[in-house]
Formats: sequence, structure tokens, C-alpha cells
Amino acid sequence: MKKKSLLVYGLSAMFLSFALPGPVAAVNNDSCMECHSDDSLERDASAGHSASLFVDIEQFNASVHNFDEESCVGCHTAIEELDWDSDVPHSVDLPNPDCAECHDETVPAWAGSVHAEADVSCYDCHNYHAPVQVAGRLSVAMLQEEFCSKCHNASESHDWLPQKEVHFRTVQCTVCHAPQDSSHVQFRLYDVTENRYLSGNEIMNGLQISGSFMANFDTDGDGVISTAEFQDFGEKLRERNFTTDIRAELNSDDGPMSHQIVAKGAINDCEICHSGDSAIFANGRLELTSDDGEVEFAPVDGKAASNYYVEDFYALSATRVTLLDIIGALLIIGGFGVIILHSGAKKFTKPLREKRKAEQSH
Amino acid sequence: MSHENMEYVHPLPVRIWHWVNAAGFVLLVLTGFQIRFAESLGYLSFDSAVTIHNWVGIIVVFDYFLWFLYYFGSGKIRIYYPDLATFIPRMIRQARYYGYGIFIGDENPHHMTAENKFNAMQQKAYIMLMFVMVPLQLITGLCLLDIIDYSDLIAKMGGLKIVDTIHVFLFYFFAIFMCVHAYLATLGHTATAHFIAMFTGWEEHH
Ligand code: HEC
Ligand code: HEC
Ligand code: HEC
Ligand code: HEC
Ligand code: HEC
Ligand code: HEC
Ligand code: HEC
Ligand code: HEM
Repeated sequence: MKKKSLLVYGLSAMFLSFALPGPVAAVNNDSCMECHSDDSLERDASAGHSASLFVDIEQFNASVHNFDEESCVGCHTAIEELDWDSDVPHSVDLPNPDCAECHDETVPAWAGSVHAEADVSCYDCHNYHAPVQVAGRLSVAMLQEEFCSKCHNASESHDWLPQKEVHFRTVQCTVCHAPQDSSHVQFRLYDVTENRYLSGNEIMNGLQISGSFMANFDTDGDGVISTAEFQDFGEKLRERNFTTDIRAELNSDDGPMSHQIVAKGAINDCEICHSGDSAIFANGRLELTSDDGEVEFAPVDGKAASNYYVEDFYALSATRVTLLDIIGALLIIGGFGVIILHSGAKKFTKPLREKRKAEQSH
Repeated sequence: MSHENMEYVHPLPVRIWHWVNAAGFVLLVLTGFQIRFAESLGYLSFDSAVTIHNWVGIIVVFDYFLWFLYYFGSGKIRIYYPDLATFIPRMIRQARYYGYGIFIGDENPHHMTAENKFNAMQQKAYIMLMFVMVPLQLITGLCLLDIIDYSDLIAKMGGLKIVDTIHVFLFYFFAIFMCVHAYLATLGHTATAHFIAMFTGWEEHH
């Protein structure tokens, strides 16, 4: 099977070399796919590597690298040209592509991590031919499914953490495990009838507003949606009959630092998150990513997570509703007021009662 | 001890229920404050406050069943039901007593017996407490114990925020209720009479 396909490719390569004028100068992706689109193509010696040499070009074309016009040889830099005269038009002992050539900030962040020590490389986590755009786009659940849960079962440990599944659902692993990285509260609109997150366009069209999100909702113009402005947003959604939940989660900030996963020293102090002045809830953002994949956010005060429109999120202490505490304080003051007045009146009227008692015993 | 002037008003199961509940509620209020205002209070770590709150909460739930089984099992639950024909006038009389008569030395219009333990105001308050407020607090608390397992029930009640709001509102209510309750308990014929009765079961007649 393999021999045959090699022959076929050899022939077609020969044909191509006649058809193409002179030596091949620029190596484009299509020329690689002449051979690597064959799903039966395998290599002889594949120790430590996949035997299959098939590359799914549709996946590649849908990936972030293609969007940014990176090519096959952008990574497989050792292939400078294709020699169409030989069976295999390039060297077969290629060095592994080096992600660091372009992601020069991610590599040092990863280098100090437990994963670097355990030889978990970039492409053990990221699909090298179809890395999805991750930054700011994936929910906590998706990130877990796509990454950490492929190799770890967090439910087997973390017994010290009450309701750990609740935390895993809402707190990205790296918020605790890459403590050098900063984090934010990510707000998203989840369509409960269609079971998916809404895109920025869907939100804007559904709201029937024109102009940018910030121009509409940042009424005081300070560049951040405050908790009060967030309330207006929630009301507007309800007016327009959105069948969505506003969801909130804790996500790591974009950038390389979330790769710095440490073996010891992950966050285990509850009060880093569970306290009224937690810095974790200082910053937030609402995802407004457009349909074509352009990532966009509206900055939101993280405390907006305490809004009643964010129905199913409650981080004890941190996102408590102040109005409720004011009502509570009034209740308590009122109750003590009654006790103090009543006991005061009892003291004050004591002579009255004593007098009456004296009269009665006469 | 002679029991001539005494009436046995609090049977043992009621006394057990009452004091477990009281101690439980005090602990739940204290840990509740610590959980809600973690950054301002520091008498417990957040972690221990949560752990204590959860365990005491479960004990109090079982305690509620003790109350429930005892009162329904024995049929004594009737003492909680107000007699609708006389309820309103009795209630007015009782309110007049606490707001006025008590100061000038009137006699309490209500005389406690085992069959007629609560005055009209108490009946109204306790029936609300034991059939609405306490169960709501216990149910919302149970929901919060595992917000994933009970997510259906939580959704039916209007979402996690609402469930927590009910729990917290009732928390403030119970916090002050217990103080008022304790104060009212000092208004017996002596300041400690009702307290002692709740330990011994015997209330003195006057
Ligand atoms: C004429 C067919 C053909 C074309 C065109 C071709 N390859 Fe290959 N390629 C092969 C064959 C055959 C092998 C397997 C050799 C072996 O048996 O190890 C291979 C192997 C590879 C390998 C694995 C090398 C290793 O170290 O084991 C990579 C990577 C690769 N090709 C990338 C490319 C890229 C990138 C392009 C376009 C620039 C390309 N190929 C164009 C036929 C082709
Ligand atoms: C982001 C960098 C990158 C780009 C772009 C890229 N590759 Fe690769 N490619 C890799 C890495 C990394 C490996 C795996 C090396 C190893 O086996 O450890 C690899 C492996 C391969 C292999 C060996 C089979 C396999 O799947 O492991 C082939 C064939 C190949 N690439 C062809 C291509 C072709 C064709 C394109 C363009 C459509 C392409 N590559 C684009 C990084 C890239
Ligand atoms: C343990 C798995 C893992 C390893 C190993 C890993 N990554 Fe990532 N990477 C992730 C996850 C998860 C995210 C998403 C982080 C987020 O959104 O907070 C990510 C995000 C990224 C991003 C986008 C965010 C940014 O940094 O701008 C890039 C680029 C990236 N990784 C490249 C790499 C490179 C290059 C390597 C190798 C040095 C690497 N990754 C190693 C899991 C991994
Ligand atoms: C030739 C340059 C180049 C090489 C080599 C390269 N990348 Fe990329 N990569 C890019 C560009 C450009 C982007 C898009 C801009 C960005 O988000 O950083 C990108 C984006 C990514 C993203 C998505 C980042 C996001 O914002 O969500 C991941 C993940 C990623 N690359 C992983 C890898 C991995 C893994 C390797 C090594 C196998 C690799 N890249 C090698 C250029 C490269
Ligand atoms: C490709 C597999 C793989 C993926 C994906 C992966 N890890 Fe790992 N991880 C490892 C290996 C291997 C080790 C080192 C061996 C060990 O201790 O389990 C490790 C170690 C760790 C450790 C230290 C464990 C210890 O026992 O001290 C933590 C924490 C960790 N990973 C977190 C994460 C997080 C968070 C993610 C998601 C961003 C992730 N890992 C994704 C393979 C992976
Ligand atoms: C609330 C913070 C927090 C969250 C969220 C969290 N972890 Fe952890 N995790 C810890 C702490 C603390 C430890 C103990 C080790 C340490 O001190 O770093 C730990 C330990 C681990 C270990 C080592 C377990 C062992 O057997 O010793 C792994 C693996 C791990 N976590 C993976 C994950 C993954 C995957 C996720 C996401 C699903 C996750 N963690 C979410 C705080 C967290
Ligand atoms: C990294 C931040 C973080 C840390 C650290 C953390 N939590 Fe949480 N916790 C959260 C968030 C966010 C939620 C809300 C989850 C939701 O509503 O979906 C939560 C929810 C909870 C809940 C369930 C809330 C409810 O309404 O019943 C409990 C209980 C809890 N945390 C206790 C703890 C304890 C105890 C610790 C320390 C051992 C701790 N958490 C550490 C972020 C954190
Ligand atoms: C008098 C009774 C109770 C009071 C006063 C009380 C008070 C409180 C308060 C103030 C909070 C913090 C809520 C917030 O910050 O928003 C809380 C949380 C909580 N309560 Fe209660 N509660 C009571 C009974 C119960 C019971 C009976 C249970 C369980 C059966 C329970 C389970 C919980 C749980 C699970 C939480 C979340 C934090 C934790 O896991 O400890 N509570 N309670």
C-alpha cells in the first residue's frame, strides 16, 4: 500500500516538475498537500512520532495559524525547497518545529513549569496542526476538556476544597495553579434554549442597538461597565426577551503566564477569593467576540458578578449583595431598638407597678 | 421538689429539640457572619467557618425532624394551631399586655398549661417559624451544601442568587429573632423562670 502510493507520488511529482517552470522557489501549502493529503501515507521509522503522515488541511485551514497566514514551512523551516525529482522531495530526518521561533514569550513561561520538567511540550497540549484560538475565547469547561482533563483527573485530589466540582466548573485550573498570572471575571451570555454562548454580533443585533457596546452602556464614559451600568444591560436584555443566562467564571488573563504551572504553591487560601475585598473580583470583562472570530471584550467591574441578573453565580463573601446587608442591619437595629425601649420602659415604670402591688396587698 | 404549683409543660423531646436548636442556631449565626463578612471578621478562618456551618446545619436539620416527629406523632401539634374563633381578640389582648399592661403590673392574659402552651402572639409567630421560616432556611441551606446536585431544585426556586438571598434574609431574621426571643423569655414572673422551665420541663403557676 505504502510502496504504491510512494510510486504514485513519485510519478505525480515528476509530472509536476515538468509542468512547473524551473526549480520551485516559494513552497506553498498546496504543494505539501500533493502528498500529505493522502490518509494512507505513512513513514518507515516513526519512533516517538505518529506513523501517519496525513495532514487534515481543512482543520489546518480553520486553525489560528492559517488565519494568521502561517504556512507549513513557517514551522517546518528545515524544508526550504521541494526536490520534485526524488521520491521524497525533502529530507526525512527533519528537526522538530520550534514553537519558540514565534511564541518567544510563551516558551520561557512554560520553561519553569512542572510540565517542562515532565517533558510535556507545547504540542502535547496544543494540536500542532490545528491549534484553536484559546485566548479569552474558551469557557472554563471547554478549556478543561480541551487541555487539563485529558491528562489529569482533578476530582481525585482537592479533597480539602469543599464543593470542588463547583470550583472546577467556575474557576479555571490555572487561576489557582499559575498563581503568578493575574485573572479576571469573564461574563458570557449563554443561550439556554440552544445550549451555546452568544457571539458579540448576536448580542448587539438582539439588543437592537446601534453603535458600539461601550457607547451604549458605558454611560459615564469611564471606559468600564460599572455595576450600575451592568444592571442597565441586564434590564435591556430582559426587555428584548433574551433567553440567555449571564454566566460568570474566573479565568486567567491572556498571555503566556498561564503556562507557568507550579508543582507546589497553588492558591489554597480561601480568602484570596472569598472575601469582600478580594482582588480576584476587581476586574472583569464581557465577551463580545464577533462571528468571524475577532476577539473583543467590554471591560466590566468584576463586582458586577453580584448582580441578580447573573443568576447562578455566588462566590461566598466576595459577591454578596450589599442591599441585602443593609436590610439585615435595619432588621437588627429595629429588633434591638424594641428590646432597649421595652426594657427601658419597664425600668421606668417599675415604681408604678410597685405602687399597684402595694395597693393590692392592702 | 414539690410540684404542687408546678405544671409539666415541656416534655423531654421538646427540651432536647429546643436546646440543640438554640445552640445550633447560635453557632450557625456566628459562622454565618464569618462566612459572609470574611474580610472584616476574624474569629474563625473561612475554611473552619464553612466546615462548622455545614455540620451544625445538618445536625439542626435532624433536630427539626425530631421536633416534627414528636409533635405530629403525639398529636400535640394542636398547640401550634390557633383557635380561629378567638384568635384575633386574644392576639389584641396579648399585644396590649406586652405594649402596656406589663408596665403597669397587669396580669398576663395567657396562662401557660401543657395543652395551651403558647399565647396568641406566640402561636402566630411560632406557626410561621416552624412551618415556613425554619423549613425554608433548612431547605435553602441543604441546597447550598451541594449546588450541583441540587441544581434542579435551586433552579425551581429561582437560581443560586435567590436561594442565597432567602438564606441570608432569614439569617438576619433569626439573628435578631433569637435576641428578641431571649428578651421575651425574661418577662416571666421572674427573669429566669422560663429559662429554668425549658431545662426542667416544669413551669410554676401564678
Ligand atoms: C512528493 C510527495 C511529498 C511532498 C510534496 C511533501 N512530502 Fe513530506 N513526506 C513525503 C513522504 C513520502 C514522507 C515520508 C518519508 C518517510 O518514509 O519517512 C514525508 C515526510 C514528511 C515529514 C516527516 C519527516 C520526518 O522527520 O519523519 C514531514 C514533517 C513532512 N513530510 C512535511 C512536508 C512539508 C511541510 C511539505 C511541503 C513543504 C512536504 N512534506 C511535501 C512526501 C512528500
Ligand atoms: C505551528 C507549526 C506547524 C505548522 C504551521 C505545520 N506543522 Fe507539520 N508539524 C508540526 C509539528 C510540531 C509536528 C510534530 C513533530 C513531531 O512529530 O514531534 C509536525 C508534524 C508534521 C508531519 C508528520 C506527521 C505528523 O502529523 O506528526 C507532517 C507530514 C507535517 N507536519 C506536515 C505539515 C504540513 C503539510 C503543513 C502545512 C499544511 C504543516 N505540517 C504545518 C508543526 C507544524
Ligand atoms: C499543559 C498544557 C499546555 C502546554 C504544555 C502549553 N500550553 Fe499553551 N496554552 C494552554 C492553555 C490551557 C492555554 C489557554 C490559557 C488561557 O486562555 O488562559 C494556552 C494558551 C496558549 C497561547 C495563547 C495565549 C498566549 O500565551 O498568548 C499560546 C500562543 C500558547 N498557548 C502557546 C504555547 C506554546 C508555544 C507552548 C510551548 C512552549 C505551550 N503553549 C505549551 C496549555 C498548554
Ligand atoms: C511562524 C511563526 C509561528 C510558529 C513557529 C508557531 N506559531 Fe503559533 N501562532 C503564530 C501566530 C502569528 C499566531 C496568531 C497570533 C497569536 O495569537 O499569537 C499563533 C497562534 C497560536 C495559538 C493561539 C493563540 C491564541 O491567541 O489563542 C496557539 C495555541 C499556537 N499558536 C500554538 C503554537 C504551537 C504549539 C506552535 C509550535 C508547534 C506554534 N504555535 C508555532 C505563529 C507561529
Ligand atoms: C499532555 C498531558 C498533560 C496535560 C494536557 C496537562 N498536564 Fe499537568 N502534568 C502532566 C504531567 C506528565 C505532569 C507531571 C507528572 C505528574 O506529576 O503527574 C503534570 C503535572 C502537573 C501538576 C503537578 C502535579 C503534582 O503532582 O505536583 C499540576 C498542578 C498540573 N500538571 C496541572 C495541569 C493543568 C492545570 C493543566 C491544564 C492547563 C494540565 N496540567 C495539563 C501532563 C499534562
Ligand atoms: C481553588 C484552587 C484550585 C483549583 C481551582 C484547582 N486546583 Fe489543583 N490543586 C490546588 C492546590 C492548592 C493543590 C495542592 C498542591 C499545591 O500546593 O500546589 C492542588 C493539586 C493539584 C494536583 C496534584 C494532585 C496530587 O495528587 O497531588 C493536580 C494534578 C491538580 N491540582 C490539577 C488541577 C486541575 C486539572 C484543575 C482544574 C480542573 C485544578 N487542579 C483546579 C488548587 C486548585
Ligand atoms: C480561586 C478562587 C477561589 C478559591 C481559592 C476558593 N474558592 Fe470557593 N468559590 C469560588 C467561586 C468563584 C465560587 C462560586 C462558584 C459558582 O457560583 O459557580 C465558589 C464557591 C464556593 C462554595 C459554594 C458556594 C455556595 O453558594 O454554596 C463554597 C462552599 C466554597 N466556595 C468554599 C471555599 C472554601 C472553603 C475555600 C478554601 C478551602 C474556597 N472556597 C476557595 C472561588 C474560590
Ligand atoms: C439559623 C440557621 C442558619 C443561619 C442563621 C445561617 C446563616 C448563613 C449565612 C449568613 C451564610 C452565608 C451566606 C452568604 O454569605 O451569602 C450561610 C451559608 C450557608 N449555609 Fe447557612 N444558616 C443557617 C442554617 C443552615 C442550615 C440548616 C444549613 C444546611 C443544612 C446551612 C447551610 C449553609 C451552606 C451550605 C452555606 C454556604 C456556605 C457553606 O458551605 O458553609 N445553613 N448560612
